[in-house]
Amino acid sequence: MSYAIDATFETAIIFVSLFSIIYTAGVVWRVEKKLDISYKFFLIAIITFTLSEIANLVRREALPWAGEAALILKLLFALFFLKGVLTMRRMVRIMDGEINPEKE
Amino acid sequence: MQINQNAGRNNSRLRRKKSFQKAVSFLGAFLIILGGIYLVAGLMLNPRFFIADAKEKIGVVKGVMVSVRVVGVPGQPTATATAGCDGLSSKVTLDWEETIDTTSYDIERDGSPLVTGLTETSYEDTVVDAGTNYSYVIISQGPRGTTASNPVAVETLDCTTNVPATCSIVTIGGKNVAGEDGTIAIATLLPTITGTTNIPNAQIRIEISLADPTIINLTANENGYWSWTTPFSLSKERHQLTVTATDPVLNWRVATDTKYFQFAAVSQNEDNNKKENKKTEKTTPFTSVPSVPPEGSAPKESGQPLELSLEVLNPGGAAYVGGDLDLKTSIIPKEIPIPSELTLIYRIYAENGKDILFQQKEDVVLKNSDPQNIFPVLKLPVLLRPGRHIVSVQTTAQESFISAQAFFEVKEMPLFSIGSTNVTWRMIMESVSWAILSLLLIILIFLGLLELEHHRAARALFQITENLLVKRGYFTRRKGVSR
Repeated sequence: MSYAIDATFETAIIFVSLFSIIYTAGVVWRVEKKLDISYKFFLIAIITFTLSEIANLVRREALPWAGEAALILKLLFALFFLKGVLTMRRMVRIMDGEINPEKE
Repeated sequence: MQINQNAGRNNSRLRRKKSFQKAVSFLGAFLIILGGIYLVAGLMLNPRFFIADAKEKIGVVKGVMVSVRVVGVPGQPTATATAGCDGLSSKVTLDWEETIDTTSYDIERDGSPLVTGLTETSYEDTVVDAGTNYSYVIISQGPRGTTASNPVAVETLDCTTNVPATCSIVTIGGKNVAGEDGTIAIATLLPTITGTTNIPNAQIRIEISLADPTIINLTANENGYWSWTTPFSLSKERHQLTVTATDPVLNWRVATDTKYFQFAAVSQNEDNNKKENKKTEKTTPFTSVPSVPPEGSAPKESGQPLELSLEVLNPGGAAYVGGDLDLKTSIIPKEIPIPSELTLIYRIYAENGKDILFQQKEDVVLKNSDPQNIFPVLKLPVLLRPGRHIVSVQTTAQESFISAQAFFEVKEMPLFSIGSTNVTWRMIMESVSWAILSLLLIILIFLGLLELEHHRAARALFQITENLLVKRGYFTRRKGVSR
């Protein structure tokens, strides 16, 4: 049985995630248009990740659906993160002149 | 030109230095925060957390010694074989010393391989027949070959038939009756019957006959001890008490003890006990369910119309506080006509075996004379204390009282785990003020930082707007107006 190492990492993950939520929300408030949309996806992804980490701490005996909820939230995290990355990629490609949004 | 190049180089060097400094300070701050969390979490969980973690996770290096040796043929193992019992099953335990230049061990039994690739220096052979001779050879395997031990022979024990089953009634109504024959006089109409058996967790069947016909099925504990208190006053007639202990694994191992007892005299204490008993019945919140047959209506005929048996279906016989207790009740009709309807009363008793903590009533319709199983689910009260409890089912059929008992373990419901610590409701409730304070503090810090970030964003927007206005000359115009 390890005493503090696992607890430290679990607590650190949740706290770092909370800080990420705060600063991502800050970016959403500052920027506009496509960058704003991509950061909104990142924000949702981070929120779902934090919730999945919290759900992972909950014991199956107390809430039998906590494990499944954690998995679903993790999947949502991956999906929203991917969507955020794709939105930002498209924005960069438009900036590079690779895509012309008016033509599409 | 030369000066400009030097200045550019200096600038980029300065920028690189600054970004390096930023990265180092960020990493340092992160490590300091991580260390802080580790110290706080460790001190909260266990004051000796650092030593425990160092021993169990990191490992303690006391000294480093480098030595070089040429690998040779593996050493010859010296083995011992000991015959023993694992419950009622025979086994052979093999032990040998660690040998040099050995990577693994193989074991041969009677010339055939039994197990290979062992890295430990002991092995338990449980697939053996009782009362049989076996010969074992340990073979050490190394990079430069194999070496076999001298054969060790052993004869296995017969663990089942060596120990005949025993069962004895030790006390009836607080009176030691071990070794007594004839009719034993007892001074209480509410006797507690206790006894022992040499079968761990034996199925105990208590049968009272001649008067007040009653059958109780319960389970002895791992030491073979059992105890049962009559839930209703017995009549003053002579009773026959027969207790049968059955092995839960080998059902042919059965032992029986029989005693006769009769009420002798009612003392003042008995009267007091009766009054207290009535008082307890009144104060329990479940008095609406008539579980105890009224005095005076004691059964008159011998013979039981049916038998009950009770089994806890939860894994390991353990249930969580506030969780469900899954039971299996078997109703086995014995005499025809069987009652068409039964009211089964389930009770959970406290650790003392007397106080009723929970009661549930269930009506059952018996369709025919075949054995019938029902699977009730009891919702355990949240205030149930963790520990070993008794659940009983009882009914009255054709003026006979029939009951069965089973043990179950109540565990605290863990809400969530931090590291290796399970946080339970009890832990939270015991330090509820700290829990609320910590939660509020975290929420406050989170909301505070969020608000700070929002303020910074709004301020940035204000500055951008101001800069734009300055760029387009609105401020200049204003200045002009003032001019």
